[in-house]
Amino acid sequence: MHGSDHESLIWQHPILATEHPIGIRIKHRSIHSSRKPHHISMSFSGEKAINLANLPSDIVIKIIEKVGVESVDAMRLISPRWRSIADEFLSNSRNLPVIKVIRWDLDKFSLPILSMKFHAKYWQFFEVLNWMEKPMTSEYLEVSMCYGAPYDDTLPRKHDENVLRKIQKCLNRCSFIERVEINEFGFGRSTDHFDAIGKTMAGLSVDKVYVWARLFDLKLTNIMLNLFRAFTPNQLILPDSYEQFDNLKFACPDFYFKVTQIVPEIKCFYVCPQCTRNRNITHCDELRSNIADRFNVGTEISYDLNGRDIMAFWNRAALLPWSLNNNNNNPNNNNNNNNNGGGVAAAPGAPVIPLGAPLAQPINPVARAAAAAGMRARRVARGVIGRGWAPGAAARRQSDTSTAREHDETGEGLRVQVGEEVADRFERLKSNQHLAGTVKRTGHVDLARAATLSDEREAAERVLLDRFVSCMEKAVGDGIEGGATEEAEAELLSELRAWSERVRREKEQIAETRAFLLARRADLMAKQASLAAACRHIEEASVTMTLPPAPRWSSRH
Amino acid sequence: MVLITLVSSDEQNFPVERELLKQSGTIETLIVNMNLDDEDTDAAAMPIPLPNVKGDVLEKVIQWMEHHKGDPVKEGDNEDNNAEIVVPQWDDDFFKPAMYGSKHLELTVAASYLDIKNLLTLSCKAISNTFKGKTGPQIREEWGVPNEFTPEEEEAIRKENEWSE
Repeated sequence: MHGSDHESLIWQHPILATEHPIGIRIKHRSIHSSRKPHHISMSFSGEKAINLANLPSDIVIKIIEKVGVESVDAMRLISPRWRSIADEFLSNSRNLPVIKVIRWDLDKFSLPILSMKFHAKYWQFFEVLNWMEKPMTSEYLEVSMCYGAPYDDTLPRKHDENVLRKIQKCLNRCSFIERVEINEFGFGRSTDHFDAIGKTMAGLSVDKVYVWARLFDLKLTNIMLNLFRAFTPNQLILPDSYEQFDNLKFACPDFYFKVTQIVPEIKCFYVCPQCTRNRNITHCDELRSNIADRFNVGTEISYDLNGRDIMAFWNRAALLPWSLNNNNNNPNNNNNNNNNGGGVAAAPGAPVIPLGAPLAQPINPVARAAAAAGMRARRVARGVIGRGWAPGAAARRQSDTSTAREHDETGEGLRVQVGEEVADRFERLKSNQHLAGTVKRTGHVDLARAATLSDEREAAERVLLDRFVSCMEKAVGDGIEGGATEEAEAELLSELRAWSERVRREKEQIAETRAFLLARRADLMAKQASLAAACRHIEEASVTMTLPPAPRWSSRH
Repeated sequence: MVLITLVSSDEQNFPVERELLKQSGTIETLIVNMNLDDEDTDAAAMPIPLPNVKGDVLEKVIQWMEHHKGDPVKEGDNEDNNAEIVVPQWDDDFFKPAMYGSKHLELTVAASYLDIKNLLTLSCKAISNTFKGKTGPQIREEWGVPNEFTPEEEEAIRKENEWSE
């Protein structure tokens, strides 16, 4: 047998007219020239013991294919031939593994996190040993890596370039990413954040991109366009995006036009509050068909349904952590949904969305909105961002007041609601007026310190408890003699007195803060009143200027 | 029952059922092109020499073909690489005695030469199974492959493999 010279074999059969499937050349002659037995001969080079190193290349390729990319690095160390064949194997992107899901998000500590989900057998190939790993619930492994400092609106973004480079190398080892999820909430439309994502994912092949975002304005549209130019997904999906859909025509009318220049297909999934009130989808149907006619945008509209139907709806958007196998899974099964008492589940002719790969943890739009609102609340509490009431669109929906003005198109309802919210907060503030005392503070108040008072209080309580325990231990150790316990009691009493004093001071500080806020509110109200008066004057003046001149009565009349 | 004689490189004759040889693309092509299937052709008078295959290896190949007689034969090379292949127990036992030696590799090369796709697939899979979880030097040691790398080259490849560092 001959290994290394395998490709050079020449089968010198005199009569056959075929080519051997493994590449042996056969000389041709007339096939039917004779029916007599023929002598068949083959020529080979010298004998040589066969081993792994001199196996024919086609067999080595087959073995490497069977081993799979997950162990291919070890193959490179068998022999130089194996190394070059393995390198060639890896250079073909079709041989590389698929990543099911990639998610760019902030964790509960506002740390920017990249999560990645792929078949568990590729853990070594992707070298994710140092990554945080979620408990496996299936054959897929989900790992995540923090790539920067905690996000804070007041600070410049800090990405760890080394980590991003590692992530980039890791992503470049895949052939295809089935689903990319980008959660814009919390990133504060940070251009450099999305630049980092675009740079890390440049040139990758991506099927679907899910974007959870606040309203797309011009800036966010441009950010997204730059991002999609970097890796060009096949499909953009805007889930839970009624506000997006409804406001795009005002805020950024050419969003669809620009995005469809890059992304072949856009799909929107949303539950329309107006349709919910009307119990039909006529409100959105015109808008949907208008956009579908002009651009390649598929829209699936629904209204608040009962639990089963809404699950089927989100299932079609591949937003559930598991796939539903009942009839509700079928988007064409609207009649069935009607019979279930849930009303119309989807618009007629709504696109069929193939189920994507759900993550180990549900990406529930409600949970996302709540998380975003919670994140903002934490930042407000830290004094990082302003205390005005301006939650994201999704959070606004989750407030679920379901008033007509909340969902109108001009935004008037939102302004009214903000006004009501502010008034309500001040009413509640006024009800605690007795804590404010008589001091009206107008100077600077350290709001950040006020937010951390509770943490200090908790720490102080812990210290006090530790001291109490140590005193008791000492007393027990000393045999609980009268003098020792008296000393401990005295010490504890003094501590308690100090603590009471501290709590009193804390209350005073809080009262001062409240007083300052009230004074500030009065000041702002005065300014608002003067502005309103000025507006009235301007209005009157403009009316006066545009009025026709008063008739002059002749002295004769 | 039509018998066709295969002649190994060490001049051993192996009369084999015509039906069995359908698993080998190479021999099947020869039979068709030489009209050995014709009634007026004396197949017994036309032994097929296989100078690339030693007698003991050809014997193993025939043994494998006899066990897999009637199995569907794969067409073409469009094999699904992602499909998980499991080596059946009989085949595992069949390959095991010769594993880690040149005999198993010779069997694999013979399967490739004779174009017996199922045997080639299972044989490669059996080899690949011995690589799982092993390092390059461990594989070399188990399979008796001489190290053709210099220490510097080996270190360089190791560093390349640690691409994420």
